[in-house]
Amino acid sequence: MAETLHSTEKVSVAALISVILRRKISRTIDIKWFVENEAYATHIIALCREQGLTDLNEYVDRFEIMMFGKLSTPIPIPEKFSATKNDTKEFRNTLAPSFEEEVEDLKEVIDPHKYVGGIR
Amino acid sequence: MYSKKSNLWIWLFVVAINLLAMPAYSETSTIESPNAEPVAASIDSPTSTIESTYTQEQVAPPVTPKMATVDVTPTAESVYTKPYLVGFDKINSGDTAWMLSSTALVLLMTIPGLVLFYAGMVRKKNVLSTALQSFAICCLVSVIWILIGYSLAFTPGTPYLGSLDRLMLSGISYIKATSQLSVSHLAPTIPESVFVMFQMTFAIITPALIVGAFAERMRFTAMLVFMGLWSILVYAPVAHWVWEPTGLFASMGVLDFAGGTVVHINAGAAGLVCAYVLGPRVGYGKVPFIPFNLVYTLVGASLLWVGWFGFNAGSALAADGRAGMAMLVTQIAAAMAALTWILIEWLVKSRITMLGFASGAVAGLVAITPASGFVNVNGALAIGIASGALCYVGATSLKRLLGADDALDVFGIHGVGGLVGAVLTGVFADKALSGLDANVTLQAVAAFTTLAYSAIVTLVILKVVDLLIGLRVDAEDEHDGLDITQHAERIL
Repeated sequence: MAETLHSTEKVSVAALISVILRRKISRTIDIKWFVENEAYATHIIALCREQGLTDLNEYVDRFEIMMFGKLSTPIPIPEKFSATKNDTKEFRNTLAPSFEEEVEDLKEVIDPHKYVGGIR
Repeated sequence: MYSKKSNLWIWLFVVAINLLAMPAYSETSTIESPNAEPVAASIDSPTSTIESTYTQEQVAPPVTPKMATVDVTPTAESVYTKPYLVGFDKINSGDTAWMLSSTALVLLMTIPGLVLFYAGMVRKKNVLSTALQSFAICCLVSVIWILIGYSLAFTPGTPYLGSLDRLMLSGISYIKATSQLSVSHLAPTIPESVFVMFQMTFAIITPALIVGAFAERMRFTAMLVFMGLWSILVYAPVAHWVWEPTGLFASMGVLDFAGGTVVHINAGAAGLVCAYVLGPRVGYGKVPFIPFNLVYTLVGASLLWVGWFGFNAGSALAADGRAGMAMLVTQIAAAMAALTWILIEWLVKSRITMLGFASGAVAGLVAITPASGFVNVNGALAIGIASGALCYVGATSLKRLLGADDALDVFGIHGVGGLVGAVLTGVFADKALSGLDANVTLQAVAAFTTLAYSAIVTLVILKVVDLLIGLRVDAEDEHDGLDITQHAERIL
């Protein structure tokens, strides 16, 4: 039971990290592989540390403890800016094309206009 | 995105609940409870002339308890206008068994019925949050209902609102020593505890229905505050108007057997206002919002259908022939509406969809709700056809006309279906079933008054919550999905 809860929390934190990485550096990661493969996890953690983001570092710390049982890398002191809020115009402009997940799925839909402006 | 909660608030909440619970406990733990003295009104009194669907059918005089503190021996003609004590022998075990089953069936409609119905229709990134909203409402409203909701809805007070006699369920009794327990004047053959639970499940599903209108964009905390206020300020008063014999509409003779007005028109109007106030989702009308899994939706609709037997037949508040008729017409209307919906869909779009079948069935179930104890089979067929056709229009053409992003068509199906059912109850009500005359104009007035009240008060509540907390997640969070941004969970 405790193992399952631990695993669930690890996936949650990994998902949060993936969201921040995608927002900040447009890097998409494989969450499932991230929580399973230590080498991949080490690489992604290093990548996260390079960003120097306070919020991201907090999540990486939690993830690293759950994944490896200890912190292997020092926490950078300088804070560039918060990673969880970004209201810049540049970011907002990236929202429209970022519906790519749904657009990709559209290929499987016969009528491309279906589900636009209403579900029924 | 995801922050830690302060333990201080939790402790304050626990302390407040305990302070509130203390007087109620002290009242119910003594035999000399307030309702040991039943209030009996003479048949000639003004209150007893109200054409209630409940009180005139089953009026059981209380027993003179062997060890009671008050010696009351009313006549057989007494009509009770508030909850009172009876002996155990006045409880009908058949009725009680059916009402316990019905209560479970109606709760099944929300969890997991509505949870699955809605979760299947939203995008993958919002499935968990949408499902959780209905589940959370179930917990929240359960507590609000016993704190104040039941008292405001189902005790006599003014025509507009009940009293606080049952605050914290004070006075609800089960006294083994004297073989007595309390019953509601609306359901004298079942324990009041069962009646409270049955009505609680209605109070739960009504706000849960609204979730579909603002899906994929509302803050979770704002949703909880809004639903709590809505349950007290909108649901409880409307339930009082329609179901409490001294209520505004009940005293006028408005018919609503199982909640077409109280539940569906009420939720539909609130949903439409929510959709307007929150605004459309990012990308609405430009990109497709592909539903996560319509099998969930069909399973959810099926659970709703089965649960609706408790909703409608249970509203007879007895295991009798009228409950049987209510169940029969419920099945017929749902099936007829589903067939009507897919026929129109086939004529208009040259295809028949799973979502169409599910939507049509729900539309029929909604429309037959107010009529289920009043119409015969022919009426059910007619209501099924009308609701299937008009709800299709409501979820497509009318939706485009209104211009609101009512994400899962709460107004199109529940609002429109509720209005169709309320009005057609006046048309098809069979006096042989209920002994009551119906009036189409009166039905329409009650339906549209409820629509207006719900819309206005919902608007006010939303504005207040927006000022205090903020209703909508920011575009960034909406883009990433509410599952991860509101709850730190996601479907992989």
